[in-house]
Amino acid sequence: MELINIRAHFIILFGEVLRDYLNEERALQKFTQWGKETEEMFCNLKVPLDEALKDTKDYRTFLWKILKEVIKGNNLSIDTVFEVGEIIDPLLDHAAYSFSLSYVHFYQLTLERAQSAFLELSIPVVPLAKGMAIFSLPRIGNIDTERANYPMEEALKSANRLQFQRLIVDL
Amino acid sequence: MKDEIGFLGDKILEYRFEIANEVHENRIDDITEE
Repeated sequence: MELINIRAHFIILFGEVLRDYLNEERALQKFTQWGKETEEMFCNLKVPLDEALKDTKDYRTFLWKILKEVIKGNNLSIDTVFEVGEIIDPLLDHAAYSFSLSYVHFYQLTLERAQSAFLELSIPVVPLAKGMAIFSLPRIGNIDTERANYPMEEALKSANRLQFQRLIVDL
Repeated sequence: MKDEIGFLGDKILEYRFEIANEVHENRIDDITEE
């Protein structure tokens, strides 16, 4: 149900753009904003990017299915059909583009947070006694620049926080 | 023409849940087939 509401919300954007006859810039802004607002939601729903992007084709198909019925049923002009096509199709492409950008950005942030948490856990500073701690350097995996810098920074921060005078470095 | 486009916008708003449901059901069918 949640996903259907998200989809309906997305469709509302097209309706509003046409109803309010928004210019291209305002219409694109509306969809860029939508991309930013939904990135977290889609990531949290565990919807893979490729699956989410497959929806674009279906939105195009079913939006046009309704439009076709309404256009034929009301004998709307051919100019209107072309004009609506020129509005809707680029917006769908832009929505897919904005969504991809936001999705990748959110995913990158999530990875950075996970990496940071992993570093904290993999290189612990353990207090042994008053004023003394042991610092275990990583022995598993590759030591890249970030992983090499982390022990130096963390040792100083921990020394300040835990007020220790002696630090045993476990190599 | 502006009125006709506005009219189509209203119709999209009116049928938003029908469109959303069709998209949703079609995606479920695709995923099931895969």
